[in-house]
Amino acid sequence: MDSSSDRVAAPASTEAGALDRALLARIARQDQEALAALYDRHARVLYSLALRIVGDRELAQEVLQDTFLRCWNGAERYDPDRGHVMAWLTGVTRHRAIDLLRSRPHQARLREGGPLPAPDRLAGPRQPDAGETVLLRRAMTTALAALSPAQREAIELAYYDGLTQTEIARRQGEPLGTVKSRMRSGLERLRTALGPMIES
Amino acid sequence: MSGTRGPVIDPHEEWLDTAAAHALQALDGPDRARVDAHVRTCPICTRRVDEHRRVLAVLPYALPAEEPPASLRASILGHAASTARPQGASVLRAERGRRASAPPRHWAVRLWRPAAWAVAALLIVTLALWNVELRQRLARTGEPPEIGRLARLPVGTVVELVGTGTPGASARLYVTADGQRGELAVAGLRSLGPDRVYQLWFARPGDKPITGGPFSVNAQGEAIASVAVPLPLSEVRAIAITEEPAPGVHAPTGKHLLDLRG
Repeated sequence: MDSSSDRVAAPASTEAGALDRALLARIARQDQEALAALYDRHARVLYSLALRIVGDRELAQEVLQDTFLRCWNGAERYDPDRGHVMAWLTGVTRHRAIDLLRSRPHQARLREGGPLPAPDRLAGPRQPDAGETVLLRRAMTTALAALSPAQREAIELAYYDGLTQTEIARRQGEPLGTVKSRMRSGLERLRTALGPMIES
Repeated sequence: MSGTRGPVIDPHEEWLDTAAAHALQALDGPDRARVDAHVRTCPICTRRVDEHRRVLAVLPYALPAEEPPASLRASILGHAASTARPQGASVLRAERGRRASAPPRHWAVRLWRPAAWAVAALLIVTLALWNVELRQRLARTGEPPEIGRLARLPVGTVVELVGTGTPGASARLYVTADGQRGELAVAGLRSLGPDRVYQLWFARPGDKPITGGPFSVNAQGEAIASVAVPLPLSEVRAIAITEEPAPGVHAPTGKHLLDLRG
């Protein structure tokens, strides 16, 4: 085996966060390779998020494009004190997708639209996930499975469908206070389960 | 004692319930401004909202992975190339020109870079303190085995491997604080038949490699496997993954599929 220099690194989540911050700093200097690298790291999760919210592949592509072009044009707006780069990108994607979800033309389009095109016809070649993505996916899936169905539903109705707590209470047929407690206890349980994986 | 009292309710509990809805942006219009104002001035709620947001940032990882079309990447990069702003002194000239001749851009350029080094230094110190606190906290708490195992992974050291013999493959080895065990997260390897396994190897300079154990990947080419770390990491100069006959071999025979990142 070849010898190589020391590469004992920082904690995992810290390292991934540092890489993203470095890429964003380069993007602020209009480095196109850095934008490509950030896209390759996160596009799949962000596209999955956009698609889950808008339910339309073409619109999900619009959301993803908008997210990365906002990043390209406004990387300077990222404030590291306010969280991880991925949290920032997720927030931009979710806001854009929910805005689109609530827009009248989109609602009309969903009413008129047929079934979604098959993913394998439109998708690009599947790139392997990074090890950290595999780990996060496994951890989040495990953590969500440990929630009660009602806790999970309350969180997902708010996060993916953009419903308010009053709308969720109506949907679940429960008092508002119950829904508030569900959302809080659900998020606290997820945090306990994910622990330091999300601390950086 | 005489008389009865109802349960004592912490008045802050209501705000903490609301903090979750705030992080989820699920507050109704009338509540939003009131809660915004409280969170801005309450360090407890600010911290709690921040914690909730960190959880929510990784919530989409539980979704089925969908692949965006390859043409979208090219389109985004092409658009970025066509709108790239000039850098260096010309940035300031261009920015002055833009401010003079055009309406203010929504994404205004901030000259924060001189402060970036200070922020980075502060971040490093903060992360170091966080890691110490984290180890103490984990020592005090007990989680269910599987979740606890995953949650503990980043506490120790992480080593990154890249696909040298299998382009596109990647792996991370999370080594526990005692340096003797690890969790290996791998992606991008092909699924093998029952007579073959992947095997992890460690080596000191000039010594024969020692195995950390065999593992298999699922149909998606992914694995999270518990492995041994047979040598002190400070002495290890090479780590690799090879494909070998099942159930594993004493010395590597296959080519290196992944190696320590160079």
